[in-house]
Amino acid sequence: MRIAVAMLAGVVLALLASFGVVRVITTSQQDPVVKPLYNYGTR
Amino acid sequence: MSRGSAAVAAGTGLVLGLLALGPALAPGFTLAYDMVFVPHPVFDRETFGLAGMLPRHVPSDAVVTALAQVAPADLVQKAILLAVFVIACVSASALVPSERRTARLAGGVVYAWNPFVAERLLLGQWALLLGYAALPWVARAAARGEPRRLVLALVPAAVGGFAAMAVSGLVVLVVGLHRPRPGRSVGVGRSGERRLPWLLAGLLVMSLPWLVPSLARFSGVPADPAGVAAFAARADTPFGTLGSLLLLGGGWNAETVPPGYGAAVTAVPWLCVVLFALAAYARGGRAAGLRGLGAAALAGLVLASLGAVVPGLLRWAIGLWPGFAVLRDGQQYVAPLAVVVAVGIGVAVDRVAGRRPELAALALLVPVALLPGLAWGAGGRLAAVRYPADWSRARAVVRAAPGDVLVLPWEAYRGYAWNGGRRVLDPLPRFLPGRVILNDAVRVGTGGRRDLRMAVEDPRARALDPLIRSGAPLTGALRARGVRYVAVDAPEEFATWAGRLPGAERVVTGPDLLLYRIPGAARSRAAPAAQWPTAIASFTTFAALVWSIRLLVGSLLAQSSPKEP
Repeated sequence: MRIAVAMLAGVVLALLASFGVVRVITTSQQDPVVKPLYNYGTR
Repeated sequence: MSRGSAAVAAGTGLVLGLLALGPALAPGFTLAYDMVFVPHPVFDRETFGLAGMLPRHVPSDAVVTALAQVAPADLVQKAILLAVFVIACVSASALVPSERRTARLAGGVVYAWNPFVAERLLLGQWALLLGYAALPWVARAAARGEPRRLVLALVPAAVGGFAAMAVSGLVVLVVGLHRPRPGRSVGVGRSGERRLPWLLAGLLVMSLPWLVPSLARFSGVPADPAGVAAFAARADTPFGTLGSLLLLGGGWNAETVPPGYGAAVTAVPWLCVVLFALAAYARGGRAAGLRGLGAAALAGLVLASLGAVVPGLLRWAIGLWPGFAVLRDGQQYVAPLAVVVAVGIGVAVDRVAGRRPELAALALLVPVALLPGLAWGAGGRLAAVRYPADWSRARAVVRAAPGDVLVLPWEAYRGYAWNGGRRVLDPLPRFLPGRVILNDAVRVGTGGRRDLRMAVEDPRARALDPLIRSGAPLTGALRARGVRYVAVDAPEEFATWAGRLPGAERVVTGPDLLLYRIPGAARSRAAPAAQWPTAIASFTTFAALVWSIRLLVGSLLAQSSPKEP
């Protein structure tokens, strides 16, 4: 039972991590330059 | 907590820091928003808040400058950033009322790796994060009513400066106000009725380095109420602004949300984790001996939401007294809630570990799995770069013949190509020696509508503002006002500003920076500044630190027994 619970939790964590990594890679491939150049940031 | 457990927590924090910083640990400097480190920094009036600007970087700049005298400045930056993760993991672990190492580590990991840390790190607010990292120590020292221990615990926040001390002050005030149960002591410190004044005295002494220059600032303390709309918390999850704050996010800047954060697939599980942690804290968190911490977290949540929920009230308050401007960027006050969440996670894992140790071990991975966007410098948003050679040449010129420097374009932030277009507060005031005049009025984009502009704060920049915006030639007026150099650090505007500097001599020409010398510029007269009060204030803080350091640093790591009140 313990092994089954651990496997299930591991699968859920792996799915979440995979999703996150894909999002990170997708976002990091975008041009980091944001116009206009002189803003502190954008809300 | 045993020294072995503390070492494990420190190692875990170090691993988390390495994972989060990634490319920022390469040789060079990481420049992002408010995070500005420069090679070979030197002490000057600005370092101590004596140049007329608000002392936002006091004493953090002074500490960095001092450390950079014994180690390369880029290494100092990396050490400080890693220290944030190590201190956060160790201090939060020490607060979890459990004998199980897994439970303590779970609290430490979630405290070092969450949306608050991610958004503030990407915003470059390392000084605030230093105070955040040590907040669990501050909470425990305040709960025990020990001023000496509190002074020691406040050192990271004191290094950070006013924002870090404001958050720590909230915790000290609320926890200190909390009356212990009748007939029970408050640890080894003073009795409940007498402890608050001593705690506040400790807070005051550790705030002196930035408080005295603020009060002595010869042009007053300006505060633009327009900042309320610019810096109010905003929703970065599907749960609205308040929900986002509850999840420890909700920072004002949409650009500093870590990649992937806020999507329902991760936000919903993270919401479940936070609610689970809060429930666990409500049931078992009191065992940590931190009565009042929950109230501090609630008060912080209320302060964090003011700008978003009742902006008119905050604008009115700032108009009444500019000091209320510390509440404009309210999201920073959810930090005490992060402490509660960390303790709650630890309590929950402690209960699970008895029956399902494998699940407890997996809990250590949950924060990273739900927020993978922080990893590897948030997907490259943090990365080390080297300053261009032009900048070093300009510094050599100004150092050889000192004089005031005006920085153009007339904006505070830049997106240099050599920094990958990442926004950063213009580093020239720290890079060049002497007085450097920069337009410190920040501009915040609103995604379509007109940008929000804050007022200029530096008195000398305020005096030059109409001239520079007029479009008229600058050379003669700058000469009369004692400006000896003009540095232009945006290649796309080289031609524009060259046309407004007739007669100025170009002394540095490069692809990234032009430096002009204005012939015959008079030496400007420095405005009187409160040097002696500031020096006395810094000495007093240092003396308090020496007084407190008689406590062994290791005592901070001592476990707060579950039996303690």
